[in-house]
Amino acid sequence: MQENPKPIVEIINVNKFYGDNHIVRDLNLTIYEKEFLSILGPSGCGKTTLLRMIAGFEYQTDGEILIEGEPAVNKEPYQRNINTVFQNYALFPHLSVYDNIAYGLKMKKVPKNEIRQKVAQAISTVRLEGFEKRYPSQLSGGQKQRVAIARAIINNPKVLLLDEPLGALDMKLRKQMQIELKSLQRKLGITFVFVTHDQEEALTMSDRIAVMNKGVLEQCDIPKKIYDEPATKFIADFIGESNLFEAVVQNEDNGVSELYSEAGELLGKSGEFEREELLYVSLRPEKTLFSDAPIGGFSLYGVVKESIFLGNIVKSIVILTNGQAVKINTPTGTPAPETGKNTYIYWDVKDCVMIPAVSNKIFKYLEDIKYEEELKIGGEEQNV
Amino acid sequence: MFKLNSKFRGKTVPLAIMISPVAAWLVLLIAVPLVYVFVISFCSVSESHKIVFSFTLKNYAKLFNADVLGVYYNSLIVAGVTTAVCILIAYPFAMIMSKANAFKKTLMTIALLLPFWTNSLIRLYSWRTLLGKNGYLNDFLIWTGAIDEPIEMMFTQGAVVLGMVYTLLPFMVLPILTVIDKLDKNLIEASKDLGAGIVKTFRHVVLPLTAPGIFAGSIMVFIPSLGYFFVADLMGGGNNQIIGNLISRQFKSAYNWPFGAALSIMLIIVTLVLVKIYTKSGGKIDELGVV
Ligand SMILES: Nc1ncnc2c1ncn2[C@@H]1O[C@H](COP(=O)(O)OP(=O)(O)O)[C@@H](O)[C@H]1O
Ligand SMILES: [Mg+2]
Repeated sequence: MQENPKPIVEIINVNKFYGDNHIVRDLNLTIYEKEFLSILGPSGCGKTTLLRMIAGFEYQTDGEILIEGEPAVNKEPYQRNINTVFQNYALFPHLSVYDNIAYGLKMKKVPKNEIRQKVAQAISTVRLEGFEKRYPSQLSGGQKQRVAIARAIINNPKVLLLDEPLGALDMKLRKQMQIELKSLQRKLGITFVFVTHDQEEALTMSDRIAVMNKGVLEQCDIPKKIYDEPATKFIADFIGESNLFEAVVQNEDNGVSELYSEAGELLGKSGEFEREELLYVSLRPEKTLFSDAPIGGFSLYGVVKESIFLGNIVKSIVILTNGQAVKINTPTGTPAPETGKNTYIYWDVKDCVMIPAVSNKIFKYLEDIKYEEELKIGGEEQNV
Repeated sequence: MFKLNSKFRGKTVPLAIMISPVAAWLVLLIAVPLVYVFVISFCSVSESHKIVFSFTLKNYAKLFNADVLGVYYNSLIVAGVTTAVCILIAYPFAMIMSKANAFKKTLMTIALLLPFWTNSLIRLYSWRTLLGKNGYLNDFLIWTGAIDEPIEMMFTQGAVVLGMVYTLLPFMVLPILTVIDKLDKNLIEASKDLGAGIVKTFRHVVLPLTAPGIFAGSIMVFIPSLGYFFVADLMGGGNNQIIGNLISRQFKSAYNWPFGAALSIMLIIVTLVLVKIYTKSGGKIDELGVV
């Protein structure tokens, strides 16, 4: 990305309802020129709906979407400098590869010579030479994918929307296409908005990742930040593996906070927490450590339930005294307790992530509610 | 028939026994009469209208006589116009039906198929009360002052087409509905995304992809409208002969069964050729509905 990225799509306080279902909630997101942005979230969280609103197939219930600084409300899909690669490719089955790719130019009445030249160029960009005369039914998944991309980029969009484009491909092809898509994006110098439910895919390909959960955009940041500093419990859980300790702040001192969890005492980062504040302390399995003796500030103790050798690491599962399972990865060769042995657990305070519990937010929401109205309703009910 | 026989091979006996009554029934009701028609189309008739079993091709030669060519011509026009009108009505109807919610869809299906529960002769006869010289439509037009004298609307070629459309419309709607229902809605969005408006999207995506349904429906409407002689009788009043009238006359009043048989064989061949073209161009036989 450039030094001073220019916004190309701005999504401002957007909500989307289908009937009574609140599908996209108060979403704010700015997408910049030439970036590779992934929208990541579990199936059904509203990714496709968000993408369709950007493309112009669907309208937000409220809020605003700006494209290149202008409101998008009155712009038809083809009036936006945006093209879509659909979730199931949506190739025209009655048209050859050539005609599928040429479709956009034909609709714009581009001269035949120019069409031929541009299609040839698009075909070579996606490396489909020799397939011009085939029909979609005669193509493999990966080839269909390439046609769908060529058909979209031939219109020179500034933004390409891709809805789970690799979802239907097998693992090997998927890895290959990931690399190709990434280099294609660099070559074209346009924005890719890439929808996926695969966190690994998002982490390896993206400049930034927008993580969605139940219609809420929970965090949007560079992959490293998303991985190292998940903003919510959901993200800590969804991206990679995490050990989450629900804990209450006891004391803060010297940049370290002392907490108490069901499994025992533990240490975390400080952060101007209130006493008795509920938090989640999140640890990656590779940052969670074994110890034979108790370590100051920690009293987490358990028994190794199993350890699995996975080549370069050993994955152990420790059951703590409260029954909580903790995952610990140690590099092969470093000492680790065997299955059935008792062990203490600790970590380096700088490795943990402090995540405010949602219940804290709930109290903030409650402050916004107009209690007078609530009470009036209550009063009327009493009169009945 | 032949399909059934080949299916028997390699099957266990109980299945063969189970299917055999059906097979026997089909042989009796379809194969035997068909073979009979085929055989007598090569026979001649005696003075006393008896069928004489001696091989001749003169029935087939007679298919090209000048007096019957006029009937073909009239019949093809009726069938052609009927098919075209059915497409024009059925296509939008099927589109609306495909977009409707489950309740409206059921209502529309009932509206489409309910008339089939009454006898088609009675239904056709009721057009007379509407369109006849003393019918409601003439009364209405005179009342509004649009015309002074009642005009003859029954017993015209237009009336025959009307009767055919009225009788055969569902056979056009159902195949078209099938293809429209199957159309991937993403394709329409993809087309719009690539710069096509509604009209261009219809022309370049929707129409080509629903064409097999239009073709299937056309076969289902065109062929019967060559043969439904009772429609031509009731609505055309004997002035508007179609091939079906010609055939029925050979069996009922002219007592020339061999010529009637030759006409029937010709119709069957036309049907088979059309179905062949349909399947060759990628159509599926079971999407024709009733075969
Ligand atoms: N046209 C629609 N009408 C009603 N509900 C819809 C419609 N489209 C999507 N939904 C609902 O919205 C939710 C989010 O869907 P979607 O955006 O497709 O999720 P994702 O792409 O993240 O899997 C789902 O619960 C889905 O059932
Ligand atoms: Mg989706």
